[in-house]
Amino acid sequence: MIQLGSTVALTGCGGPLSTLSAAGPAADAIATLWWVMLGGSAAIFALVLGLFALVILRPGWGSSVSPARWIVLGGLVLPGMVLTPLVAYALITGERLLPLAGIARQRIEAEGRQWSWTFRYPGEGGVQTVNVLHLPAGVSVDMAVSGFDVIHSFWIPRFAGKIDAVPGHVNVLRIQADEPGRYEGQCSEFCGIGHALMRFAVIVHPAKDFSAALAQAAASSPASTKAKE
Amino acid sequence: MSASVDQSAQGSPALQLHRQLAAIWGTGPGLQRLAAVNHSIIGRRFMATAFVFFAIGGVLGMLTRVQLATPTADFMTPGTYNQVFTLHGSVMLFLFAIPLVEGMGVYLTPKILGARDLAFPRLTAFGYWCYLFGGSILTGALLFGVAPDGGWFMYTPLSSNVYTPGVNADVWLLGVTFVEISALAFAVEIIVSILKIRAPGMSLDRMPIFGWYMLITALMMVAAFPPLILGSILLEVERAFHLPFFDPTRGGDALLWQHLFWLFGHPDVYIIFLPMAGALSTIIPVLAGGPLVGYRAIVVAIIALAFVSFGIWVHHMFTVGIPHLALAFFSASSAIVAVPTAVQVFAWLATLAHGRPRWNVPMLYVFGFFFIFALGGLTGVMLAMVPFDWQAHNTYFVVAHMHYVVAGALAFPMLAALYYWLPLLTGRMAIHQLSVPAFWLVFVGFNLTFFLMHLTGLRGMPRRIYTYTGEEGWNWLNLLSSVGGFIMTIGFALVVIDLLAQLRYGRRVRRDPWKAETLEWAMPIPPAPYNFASIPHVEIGPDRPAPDGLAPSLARGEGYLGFARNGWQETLGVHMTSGAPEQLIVLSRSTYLPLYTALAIAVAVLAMLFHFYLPALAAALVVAGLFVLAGQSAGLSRDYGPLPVGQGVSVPPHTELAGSPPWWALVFTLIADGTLFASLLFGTLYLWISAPNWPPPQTFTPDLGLAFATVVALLVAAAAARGSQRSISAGGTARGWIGLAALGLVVAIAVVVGLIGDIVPRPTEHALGATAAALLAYVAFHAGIGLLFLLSNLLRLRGGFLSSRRSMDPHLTRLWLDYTVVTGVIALGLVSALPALVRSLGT
Amino acid sequence: MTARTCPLPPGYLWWLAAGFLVWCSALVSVYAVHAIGCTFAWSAGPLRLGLTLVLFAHLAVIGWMWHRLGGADQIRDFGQTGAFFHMAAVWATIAAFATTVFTLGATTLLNVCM
Repeated sequence: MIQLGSTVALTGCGGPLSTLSAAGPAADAIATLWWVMLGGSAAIFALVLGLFALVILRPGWGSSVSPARWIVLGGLVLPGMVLTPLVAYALITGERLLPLAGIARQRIEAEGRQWSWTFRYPGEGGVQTVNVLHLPAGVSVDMAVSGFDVIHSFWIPRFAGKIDAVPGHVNVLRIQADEPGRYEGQCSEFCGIGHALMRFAVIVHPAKDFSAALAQAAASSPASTKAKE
Repeated sequence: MSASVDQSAQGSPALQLHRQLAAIWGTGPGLQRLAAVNHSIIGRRFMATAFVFFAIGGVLGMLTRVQLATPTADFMTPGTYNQVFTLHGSVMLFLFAIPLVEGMGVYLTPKILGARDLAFPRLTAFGYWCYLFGGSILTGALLFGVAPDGGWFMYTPLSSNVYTPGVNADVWLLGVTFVEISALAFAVEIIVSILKIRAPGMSLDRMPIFGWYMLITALMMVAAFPPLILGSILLEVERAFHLPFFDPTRGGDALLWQHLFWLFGHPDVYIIFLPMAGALSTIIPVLAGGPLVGYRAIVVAIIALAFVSFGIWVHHMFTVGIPHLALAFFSASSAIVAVPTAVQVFAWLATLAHGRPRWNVPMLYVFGFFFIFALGGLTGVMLAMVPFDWQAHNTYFVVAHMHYVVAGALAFPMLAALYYWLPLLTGRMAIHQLSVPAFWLVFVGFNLTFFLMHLTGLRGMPRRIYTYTGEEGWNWLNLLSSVGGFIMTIGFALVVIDLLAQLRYGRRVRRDPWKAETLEWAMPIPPAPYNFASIPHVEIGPDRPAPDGLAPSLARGEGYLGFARNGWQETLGVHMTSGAPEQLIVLSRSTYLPLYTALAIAVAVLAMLFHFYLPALAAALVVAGLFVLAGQSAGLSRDYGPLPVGQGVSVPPHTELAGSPPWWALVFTLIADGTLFASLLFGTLYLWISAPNWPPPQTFTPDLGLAFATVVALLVAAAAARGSQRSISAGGTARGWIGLAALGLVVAIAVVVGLIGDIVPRPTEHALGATAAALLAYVAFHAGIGLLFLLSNLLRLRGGFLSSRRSMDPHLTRLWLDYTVVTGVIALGLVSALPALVRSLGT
Repeated sequence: MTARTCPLPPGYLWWLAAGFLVWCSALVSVYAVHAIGCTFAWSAGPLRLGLTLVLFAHLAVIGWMWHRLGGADQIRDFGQTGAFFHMAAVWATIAAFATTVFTLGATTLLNVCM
């Protein structure tokens, strides 16, 4: 399934912000869920429209099936058989993506404000970067996300789902990048005039080089070193 | 509006009866049209106005598609774009979808149930004016560049006065709340009308399925709108008077707004869908040439749907940081809500399978419905799955899903219904040359626009962005979506031309062209203002009264009430479940009062917009006065006793009966009010549990003595209302009792105002003070309305509208004051308990 | 016309909603207990036990209503209308029971406050 996902990614689902070209375990699990649901939905859609075509084009075709049976089979049995395993599958998937205590090796704070992202690295001497997030590859990271003014939403589509940056609250999202490289993230909650431009870059370093690379990046970027509070 | 009557077939008794009834029920020409209260006229106005707003919303939608067709476009500034997309959503939802459903309900419900009008004609008209004025304020703001720009769900703190200092958000909050008055008025009126005003013999199990759909929809509206109204009031109070309900820096919480909004927002999807599903359940059997399959299953399914739709609002909030366990409830609910929908879809398929379907224009739109709604439903189940929603939330995938659901639930069934019922409205049949290409343009254009958006969303395009760089892989998708949008627009334009052509050139029909089996076709078309010259007795059902044979005999006056009496607008009230005739309902006639009342509210709203609070208060008092004045002409000024209504049956007029429409109207109004109160309690407790910056630095000590005094004063008022009820029933004047009740209420108001003054922290400093003040203000407000009830009682006693038999008024007053006592005890109890609750939070 | 029957009392209509009203109560109670428990950092075991008890108490009430409706003779006097509403009420109650199990069943399984 994962392989199917990446093949299609090359042909039609690519792009720097595509949820379907997963580059981390969370996005990968969700992409798999998507392909499963897509297949199931296509089958159900074909069934419903096929039945509609048959009852219209072949009058009397379905009249041997009693009305009660139509309703019980189509209205109760079919959705029951589809929804029960689907909900269970999705809940188990969701449970595995939770930031359970004690597993993450990094904790990074992200704060959205109109219209930029500030990232602080308490485990790395408290340095901070603006609009560029540095991550170690292959390490699960807990992003502690908050909003300074209005609600924003922190989202790196190729790594994981999004989490809202709500003023007064801190939400934790676990993300992990598989490979070093450059990725993109963006705000995905409407936050005013500058919402469309509230993107950020994500630079993933090999885990062993992370601390050094972060220190270097923080030192070389004047915007990032300037402590705001 | 004159009605056509087939003279040769129905002979002169029918014509004579028509003339007499038309004189009573007609609306005057010229400016007197503004005084119309007739449901056919108001229903048509609702629908016509909704279509105008649909056109406005459509143009706004096209503007967004122009802006997004290419990357880095500068067709609009970001500020303008934000106003345009916010208004597109707000107009489509609040000014098109809901009012269209209301208009359809107002126009069709009495006709299908065999009644001459709805229970409260003046309320129908009042609702329409509120909708028209509120909608005009909302859209008019665009002309001045001050339209709302915070997205159609207006999330705080972005919509607070800190981040939206201008008038834009106020336009939304006040305008939408104004429009929602019409929704609540409609809901109460439809519930009472369906339960009490049907053709005799139409027990609830024989009621056409459309009646069930409208009844459940209206009941949902009663429960769904109050949370949004409360949220809008609280946010407007925060913006205007700085009480921090949603401001996280002062103990409010932005997430409370989201809860209140979506508590309304999700049921609203089904509020739009159910009436249209009712139309489908009416049309499909007719086109299939057989009875509807699974009537009882559908009734149970829509009851289930109505409830479950209130338990899924959090699926709009999967990314706000709620624990996964709690998300699981709402995820599972959002999935299981598909079951009652599937029951209906398969009931329709079975109906078609067991009949011999005709293929025509309405059926073409039924096909469009199946295609589009199935896709919208399937993506809905996908989005109900929490992890997938974490990715897809707030992307174009959701935009695509939402448009599939709304077009499937509303647009395509609406057009099926329009082509089906237009002969009833206009007396003419459709000309089909244009209808078919118009359908395919809409259908292809719609799918091209929105199907691709699923992929755009999965490729990461967030909603509500005014531009993109062109490197994200979204370019061709957006361009094709925009092309599709224009194809769809051309299709809708063709639909409009087609409908106009039908109005002008369509073949005239006099009777039921579809061989339908519901009562709206048992009248000459287009219908006369009184619908039925006489009211039928329903012997079989549901949906089987065979209107073709019935129509001439009804026109000759051979049913109930086939005569004119005292210049009264008469219709029959029946026993709620069995449909046995129970009361003669005398309806109020044309009046300008609804227009004046709505105008006064419009003045209040505009004054609020410009921060003229004293004039706004004065206008509000005028509104209160007009309501009391409206009460002065309701009912009958003497006792009549049982009156003959035809078929050898005599029933008393509604003024002399306990279970008359006003009683039920107040019951359902109080249910809506109770939902608002429950939302306020929820809000208070929610902030206590969840909001940042709690506990506040210091907290008031509850004054239990004063709280107790308030409760005692309210109890005295309620007891005095009972005394007045007994006194009037015994033929007395009850002045002393009314005075005592008024005294109790005045004392209660005074004490409550004092309590508000003593709250620490001050209501503007912290959410604790703000919520305590809101709870107390709720009590004072209801006591104040109680005073209006008492004033109306006094005036109506003096006017001779009350007697020992006509004693509904004191019953209504008692019910209101009982409600005030119950909510007062709860509110004062919670306010007194708040300091202890705050202490339990620790420091 | 069928044989003379009494009109069904309007109060019987409540039975159409009764099962789902209990579902509403179950949803609100479970959600509230969960929110309060997580805010005050109750330990996972007792919190889950509390949630489960609330859930089963509501299921017991709906089950009891279902049982009561199932054996109802009092509806016999109300003719076709009575029979219609009796069956509709039974099915609505069953639907409410199934909905309660489906929507709140997860309380017994998932991580509590994460």
